[in-house]
Amino acid sequence: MNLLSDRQRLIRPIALFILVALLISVPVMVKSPYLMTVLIASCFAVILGMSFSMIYSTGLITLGTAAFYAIGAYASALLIMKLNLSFWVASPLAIIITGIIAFAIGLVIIRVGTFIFVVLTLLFNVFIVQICGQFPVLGGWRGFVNIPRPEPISIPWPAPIEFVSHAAYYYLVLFALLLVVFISHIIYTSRIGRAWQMIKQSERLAESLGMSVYRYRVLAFVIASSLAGLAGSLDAHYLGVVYPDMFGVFTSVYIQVYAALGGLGFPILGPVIGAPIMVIGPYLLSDIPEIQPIIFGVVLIAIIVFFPSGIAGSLQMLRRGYFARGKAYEKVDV
Amino acid sequence: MKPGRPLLEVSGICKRFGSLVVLDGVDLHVNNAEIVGLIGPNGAGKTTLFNIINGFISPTSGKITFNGSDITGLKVHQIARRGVARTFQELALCKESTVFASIFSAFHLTYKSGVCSAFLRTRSARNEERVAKEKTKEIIDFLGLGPYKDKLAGNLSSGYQKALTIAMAFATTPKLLLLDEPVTTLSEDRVDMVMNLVAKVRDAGTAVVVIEHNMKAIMNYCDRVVVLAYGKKIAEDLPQKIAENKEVIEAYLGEMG
Repeated sequence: MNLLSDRQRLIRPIALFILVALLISVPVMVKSPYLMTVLIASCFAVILGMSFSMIYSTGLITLGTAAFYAIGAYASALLIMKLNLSFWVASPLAIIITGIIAFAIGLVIIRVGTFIFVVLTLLFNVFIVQICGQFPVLGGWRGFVNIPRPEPISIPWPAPIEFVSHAAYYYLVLFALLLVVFISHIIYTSRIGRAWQMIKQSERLAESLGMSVYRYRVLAFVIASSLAGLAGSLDAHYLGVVYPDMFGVFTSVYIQVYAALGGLGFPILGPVIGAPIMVIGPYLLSDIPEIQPIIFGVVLIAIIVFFPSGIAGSLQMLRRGYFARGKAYEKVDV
Repeated sequence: MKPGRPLLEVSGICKRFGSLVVLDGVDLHVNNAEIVGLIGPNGAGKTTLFNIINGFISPTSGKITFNGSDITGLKVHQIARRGVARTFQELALCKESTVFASIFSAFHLTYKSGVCSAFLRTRSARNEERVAKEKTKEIIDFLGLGPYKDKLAGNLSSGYQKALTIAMAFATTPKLLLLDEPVTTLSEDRVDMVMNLVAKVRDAGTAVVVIEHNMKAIMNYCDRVVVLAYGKKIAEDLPQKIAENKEVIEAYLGEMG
């Protein structure tokens, strides 16, 4: 529900437009290939963060986001390398496969309640990593190398779009990210999003108002996991390699921090803020690699103690003047 | 005289938790367009009975028939879909949502268009949302919640929180409304405001069952009163007769003694 004044309502689209324009002009401004890599990685991080926060928006905490990230990556790589499919067929297929697996898993583990759910997602994550590592057909612990870039798309003019350069891949990933943000926004502001909000705050109330808590959670789980699969597919073809240790539980924890840093009450804005900070931050401090784990720990503690509502949440509370009054309930927002 | 079969029939409901018998063969019926008061000392099993009718608990034995079909054992959201709405003694609220958002979300059941239409924002989906928004405004104005419509539910006083939970139950346009202590702790004029609202809903055809300890509210507004004690129905009559019923008085005195 929108509480913005008319002037604020006008500012939002303009700010958004400026932001998108900036994002589009990045490859022109950034010359360092390493920085481009980091920026592309931060786009994946945002999508993964949004996967976590979509499931969290129904009140469930998942430690298995990386599992579906892996499934998307491996499925995409396998479909292309073993079945010789085009990327443009394999990638959507990989996302669908991720969704189907998420559906099957979700049907079972969502029944059991919020606490055991966390444990089961963690177990599933470990399980997937082990599967990818133990089976040579899946590449074993060394994983796959030489995963090809997407095939060029031919258009009438001027030339086929290729995806070899960093800039080209950046646009592909940016497009996917903007699409994900757009679709997520539509879902969150629809009846589905409202049901999720209610389920998160009071399962009892949601259920007695006719919402099946179970079904809505499974829906969130499937959509969110498919998003992680999308990130996986794009990432696999960007890096050219996948190996099991990329997708361990620690990655899932990192993903959770992406969302938490930005603000857990903000399913889209949270990851959009938190993920780039956590991915680009280490790059800015890359001269002093020893400091990074320390910074990570400090950031985590700072979030827990001082900014439990994350960056976006704290800004919102400041804006409302709640800071001085201590905790008051924050409105769930985008 | 109410023609036709009762909307809700509770037949022989027993509920045991281990060796603890909470309900012991309770029979009850509720007709359309009537307010039934459900009273009794604490621990009598009233809320448990609501939980069984509503679907949160399944009975050890017995049957619940609603609108002609057996709803025993159905899931809560399925029963809600059939037209049963309920409020809770310990308020079930979305503390971090605004009053407007809470009531608006409660129209969830009234949408005929499916989830896909909601996602695709089809014209019918958008229309239904617009109608729901208007009805939300109506309910808010009617209950006098206007000034609070953008306040977070968690920041309201308990009286307004209760009104909010009742508003959410109304929004589902139920056939049967189960109110669990809707006016306990409210001041007298608030009690009248809420109970008048309930009476209006009854006049529109809805069946209502009210669990209450506020005897004035029960006496003034109920068409019929059922008394539960120690898991059994010990009386069922017009409000005035219940007030004079010796067994009822003893059951309440027994609680205080």
